[in-house]
Amino acid sequence: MENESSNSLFHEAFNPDISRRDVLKTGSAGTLALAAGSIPLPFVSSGASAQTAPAAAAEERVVWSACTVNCGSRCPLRMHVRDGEITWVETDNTGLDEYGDHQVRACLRGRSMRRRVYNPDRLKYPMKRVGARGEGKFARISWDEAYQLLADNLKRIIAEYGNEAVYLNYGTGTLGGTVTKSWPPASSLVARLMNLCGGYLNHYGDYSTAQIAAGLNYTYGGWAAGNSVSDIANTRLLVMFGNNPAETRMSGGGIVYHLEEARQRSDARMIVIDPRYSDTAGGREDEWVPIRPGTDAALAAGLAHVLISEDLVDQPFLDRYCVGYDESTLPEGAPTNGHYKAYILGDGPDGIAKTPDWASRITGIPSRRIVQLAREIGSTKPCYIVQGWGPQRHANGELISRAIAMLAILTGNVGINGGNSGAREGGYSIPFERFPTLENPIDTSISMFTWTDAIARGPEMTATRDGVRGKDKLDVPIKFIWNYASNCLVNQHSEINRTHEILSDEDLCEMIVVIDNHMTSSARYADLLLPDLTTSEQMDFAMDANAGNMNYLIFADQVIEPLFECKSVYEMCSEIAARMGVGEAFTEGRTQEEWLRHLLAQNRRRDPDLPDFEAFREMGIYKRQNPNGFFVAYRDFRADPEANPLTTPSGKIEIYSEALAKIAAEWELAEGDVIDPLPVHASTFEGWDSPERAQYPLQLIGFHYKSRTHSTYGNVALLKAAARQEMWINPIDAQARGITNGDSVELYNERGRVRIAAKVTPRILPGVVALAEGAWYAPNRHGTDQAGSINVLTTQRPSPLAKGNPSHTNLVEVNKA
Amino acid sequence: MGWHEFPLVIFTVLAQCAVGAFILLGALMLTGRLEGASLRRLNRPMLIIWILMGVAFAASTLHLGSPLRAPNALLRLGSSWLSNEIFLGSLFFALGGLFWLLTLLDKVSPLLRKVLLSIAMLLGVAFMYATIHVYMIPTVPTWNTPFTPLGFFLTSVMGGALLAQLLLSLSGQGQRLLAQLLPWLGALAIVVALGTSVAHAMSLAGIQSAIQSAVDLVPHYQSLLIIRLALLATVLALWLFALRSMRHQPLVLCASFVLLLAAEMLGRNLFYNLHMTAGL
Amino acid sequence: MTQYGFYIDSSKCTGCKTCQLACKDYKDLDVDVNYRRIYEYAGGSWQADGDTWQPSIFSYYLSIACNHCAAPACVPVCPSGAMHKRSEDGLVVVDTDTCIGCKSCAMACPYGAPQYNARKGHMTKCDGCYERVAEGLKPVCVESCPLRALDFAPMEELRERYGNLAEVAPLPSASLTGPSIVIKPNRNARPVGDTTGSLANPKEV
Repeated sequence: MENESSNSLFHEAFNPDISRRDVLKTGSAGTLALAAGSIPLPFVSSGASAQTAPAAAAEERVVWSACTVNCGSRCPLRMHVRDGEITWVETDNTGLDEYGDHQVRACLRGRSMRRRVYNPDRLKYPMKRVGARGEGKFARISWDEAYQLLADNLKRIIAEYGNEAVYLNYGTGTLGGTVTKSWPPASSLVARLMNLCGGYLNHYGDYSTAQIAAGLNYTYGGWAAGNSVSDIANTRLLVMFGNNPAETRMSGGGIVYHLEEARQRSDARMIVIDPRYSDTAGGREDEWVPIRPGTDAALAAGLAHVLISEDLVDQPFLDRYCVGYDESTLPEGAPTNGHYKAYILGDGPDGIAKTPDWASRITGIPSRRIVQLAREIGSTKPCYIVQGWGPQRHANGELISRAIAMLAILTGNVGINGGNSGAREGGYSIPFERFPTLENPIDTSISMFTWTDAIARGPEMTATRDGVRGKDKLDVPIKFIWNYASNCLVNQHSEINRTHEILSDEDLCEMIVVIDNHMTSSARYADLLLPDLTTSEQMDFAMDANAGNMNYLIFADQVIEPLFECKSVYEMCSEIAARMGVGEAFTEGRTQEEWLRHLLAQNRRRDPDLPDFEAFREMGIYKRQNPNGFFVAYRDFRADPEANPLTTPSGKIEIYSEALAKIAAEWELAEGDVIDPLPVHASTFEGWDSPERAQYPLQLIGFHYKSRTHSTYGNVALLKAAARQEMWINPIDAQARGITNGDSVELYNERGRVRIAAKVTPRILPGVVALAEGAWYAPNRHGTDQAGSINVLTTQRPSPLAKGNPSHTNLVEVNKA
Repeated sequence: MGWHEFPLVIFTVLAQCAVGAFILLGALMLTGRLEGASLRRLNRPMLIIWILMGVAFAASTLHLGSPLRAPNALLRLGSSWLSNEIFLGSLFFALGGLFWLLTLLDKVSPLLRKVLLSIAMLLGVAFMYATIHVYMIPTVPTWNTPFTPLGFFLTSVMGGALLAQLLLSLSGQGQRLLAQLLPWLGALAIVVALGTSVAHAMSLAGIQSAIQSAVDLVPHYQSLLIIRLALLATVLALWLFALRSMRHQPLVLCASFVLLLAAEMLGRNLFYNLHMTAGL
Repeated sequence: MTQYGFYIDSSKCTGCKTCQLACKDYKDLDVDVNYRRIYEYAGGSWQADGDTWQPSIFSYYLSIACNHCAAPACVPVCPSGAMHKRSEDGLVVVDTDTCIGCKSCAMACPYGAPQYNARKGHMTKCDGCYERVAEGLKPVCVESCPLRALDFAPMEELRERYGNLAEVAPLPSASLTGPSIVIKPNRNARPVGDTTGSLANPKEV
C-alpha cells in the first residue's frame, strides 16, 4: 500500500477488491467497462457522467465547497474542476489575510478532500446485507427496493414495539451543514422524518463532552460558556488543562491560529498541563506540566490548597457570586464542614488536607511546582484558565471538569476580559436558523453512550441506575437504528468486541440502516446500506465553526455530479417519507436548493446584513467580526448577579450543588463510582492507583490525530502515510520492554488486543501510553486489531453522573510483537 | 543490508577488474616481449575482459529509471563526473575492444595497434579516475573520504592482477615475468585491503549527522566485513595454491577470481549501504 | 538573477503537515513522494523523584521542501542536465523529459529534496511552484499554512525581514550548499551539528 500509485487508486476505486472487503457485487456493465480501461488521473467519474468530453482542453472552473467534519472548525474549499472532475483543492484565498479578517485555511485533511471523494471505499449503490451481520457481505439492490425494505421494517417495528424502539445513533460525519448535518441527530433530516412518523428514542450528551457538559451544568447552569479564544489577547497568564488546539482545532481559521495570534498580542505566559508534550506546547509553552491521566482534580485541589492557605483567593467574589465555598455561603441542608474550603484544608468528612504534597503523590507533579503554579495563578490577573475535553473524558470526568473550573472561580477570573470560566474557550457565532426538524413527540432519552445497553437490556434500564431521562425506565429495547454519517456504531463507540457481540445477535436489534459515503467499520454492520453524497456532490450552507471573534458562513456549492448511484440524504428521506405517508409534510414541496433559498431568505429577514443567495454563492465565504468585541462568558452575571442570575437553582456559581447531593443520595451507583456535591478528587476503576495496575501497568489515553477527524478521512492513503498511526510510549517504559522506535507492539487488556507500531518518544509521561483515536478497526482472524483502533481497548462502563464515555480511563500492558 | 544498488555494485566491480587486467596485460604487450602468435594467444582469452565490460554496462542501465534515455547521461560531459565516467568507460570499451579485434584479426600495423593500446590504457585510467569522482560528493561524508579512491583502486589491482593471471594461464603464458610478479602484487593489494578495511571501519565512528551515525547505517557491519576479509584471504590462498599445481591452474584461478568478485561485491554493497548525507 | 527562497518559522510550526498535503494534492503526488517533508526532532530525558517525574525534553518540527540552494549539490552530479538551476528565479528544477532516473541528485542532496518517482522512472521535486510565482502567486504550500509559518520571496527580502539563519539541527551546515532559506528557530531548537536528539518520524519523511 505504501507505493500505491494514482493509477492503482483509480483502479481500486472502480474495481473494488471483492475479497478484501467481502462486498458481494452483482455485475455492473458500466463499472466493469470502466475498470477494464486504465485511465490515469485525474479520476474519471461514473459511466453516466463520463460523456466522452471533446479533446479540446476543458476550461477549469473553481467552485466553493466545504469540509464538513467534526473537528470543531469548518473550512471552505475551493474546488478546481475540469471535465466534471475535481483536479485539486484550494482553500480560502480571499482578502489580504490580516488577522481579524483572515483567510480560513483548511488543514491537511481538507486539502485531501479529493482523495475522500474519489476513494476506493465509496459506497456506490444501495445494498442489503446477505451474510451474517458484521461479516460485510452485501448484495446490490435498487433504490426502490431499498426504500421499500426500510419503510416496511420501520412500520413493522413501530407497530410491534412503538416509536421508542427507534433510535438515531450519534454521528458527526457530516457536521455544520444546513440540510446535510448529521449532528446533533435531533437536528438532522432523519429526525424530521421520524418526528413526522411518531418520534424516536432521544439521547443526551455526546462522545466529546459528556462529562463536562453534565458536570459544569451543576456549576454554571447549562452548557458552560468560555471566553472567546481571541480574548487571550487580553490576558497575562494562560493555563491550559489538557487543551490542545494544535491537534484538535488545527485549521487556519480555527482555535490554534487564534491562540497564536492572540498570544502574540498579549505575550501571555502559557502553561500546558498534559500527559503528552502536545503540538500546542511544542516550544511555544512557557512551562509544560506533565500529569497522570485522570488526576487533574487532585492537581486542582493541591493548587487550591496553596491559594487558600496563602490567601490568594478572591474572597469578595466567592462571597457574592458563589455557593458553598465556605461556611458563609453553604446551603442550609448541607452538612457541617460540607463546604469546599473544609474539603481542601482537611476539615471535611475525609479529614485529608489537599496539600501540594498530597497532590504531588497522585498527579506525579513535584510539589514545589504545584506551589509555584498556584502562586503564579493566584498573583497574575487576569488569568485565562481553560480546559480541553480530554481531562473530562474520564471515569471521574464530571468531577474533574468542575475541579478545574474551581481555579477560575477561586481567583475571581470569571466574567472578565482576559479571564475565563475554566471551561473550554468559546467564541462568536452568526445566528442562523436551520432546517426545521419539528418536535419529537417522545420525551424519553438515554445517554448517547448507553445505546448498546439499550439494545441488550433496554427494559432493565432505569432513571436512577442508568440515567434514563423523561421516564423512570425504558419500556422497550432498541430495535431499529438509523446510523447516518456515523462511525459510532462500531469504531467510535467503546469496547468494540462487546458492540460486535450485541450487534451480531440479529434477534436483538432487528434493523440497522447506515447512510454514509464509505464502507466504514460501522457500515459493515448495516442491514441496509444507503450511499450518500459527499459535500462536493450537493449544495448546502456550512457553518458551526468555533472560530474566536470572527465567524463565517460557507456556501458549499455542488461541485460535481453525484458519483455512481449515490443520492442526497434529503432525497432519501423524502422518498422514505413518501412511503411512510408523510411525503408532502416532509418536503413542503421544496427541493434541496429551494429549501436553501428559503432558509437564507428567512434568515435575511432577521439579519439583513446577510448576503443574498447569488451574492453568497459568488463570495463562497461570508465573514463577520463579533459586533460586541471579545466574547466574555458570564460578563452580565459578573456585572450584576441579581439582575442576570445563572440558570443554576441558586442563580449563582454552585461550588456546592444541592442537586448533586440529592442525586448522590438517590442514585444506584456501581461500586467505586462517586457523585459528590463538591468538586472532589476521586479514584476510579482502571486509574493510576487502581489494583488492576498490577496486571496492566500502563495508563492508556487517546488523542486527536492530524491524519483524521475522529475516524473521518481514516481511509485516505496519503494521510495515513503522512501521519502514521502509532502508539506513543516513553523511552523508559519502552526500554523495560525491549521496544525501540518503530517496533511493532501489542497493547492489550481484558477487552481486546491491538497491534501497531510504537513511537518511542520522550514526549509522553512514563507510565502512560497514548493511541490516537479513530483508526479504522481492522481485526485479523484472531480478533487482534491491526489498525490501532483504540476502542478495542476502551470500556463501555459509563461515568457515574453523565453516563458518558470514559475513553481515557484504561489500563493496558504492552509487549513487543 | 539492502541490495538496492546491486546494478551499480556489478558495474563498478566488474569494470574495475576489467580495467585493471587490461592495463596489466597491456603493459606486457607494450614491452614488446610478446610477438606474433604468442601475442594472439594471449589476446584471445582477453575476450573475457570485454565480456565483463559488457555485463558491467548492461547492469549499469538497470540502475536507471528510464534506461531508454541512457544516452542523455552524456549531456553534461565535462561537467558531471557521471557523464565523464560513462563517456570514458564507453570510449575505453570501444577502443580497447577495437584493439582486441584488430589483434585477433591481425589487422593494421603493430605500431598503430600499440598506439591504440596505449590510448585505451590511458582511457582505462581516466575511466577509473572518473568513477572515483562520481562518489566523492562533498555532501556525502561517508563516501567523501580517501577510503573511496583507495578501495576502488585496490579492487582494480586485486581483481586486475588475478584476472590477468587467469588470462595468462589460459593462454599458456604462465612462465612470463609478469605472471611471476602478479601474485606478489595481488598479495600486497590484499594485505593493504585488509588493513584499510579495518581502518575504514574505525573511521566511521567519527561520521554522524544529527539524525544518522555511519556506524548505525549497516546492521552487522563488522560481521559482514569479516566475511569479506575471510573471502579475500581464501582468494589469496587459492591463488598461491593454483601457481604451485599446474594441472588445474586455470580452474583454481577461476574459482579464486569468482570468490574475489564475491568479496568485492560484498564490500561494494557495504559501501553503497554506507550512503548518508551530511543532513537529512 | 533574483534568488527566491522559503522562510520557515519553526517557532510557529505545529507539524500539522498541511503544507505537505496541499502540495501533494496540487502536484498530484503518489503516496511515497513528498516534495515537502516535516521533520520532527526530539530528545531529552526524564528524572524520577519519588512518585514524581521531572522532564527535560525538547521537540520541534521543521518543514523542508527544496531549498533551491545557491550551490545546489544536486546540479553538478546530474549527468543529463535535467537538474538545473533556473537563471530567472534561482529555483532548482528537474526537467522530467530529460531525466534518466539515475538518482545521483538524491544521493547528493543533504535535504532529501529530490524525490524519485518509481512509477514514472524519473526524479521529481519541488519546483517552487515557479509557474505560480511567475503569475505573482506564492507556492501552494505557503498559501496553505494554517499558522502562516511559511513564506516565499526573493532572498534579499526574506533576509532583510527575518535575518540570516539557514541552519539548525537536524539540517546540515548551510555552508555546504548555501540553502535559500531563512529559519526562525523554535525555542527548543538545537544548533546545527547537535546530536543529542533524534529524528522522531523517520518513516514519515
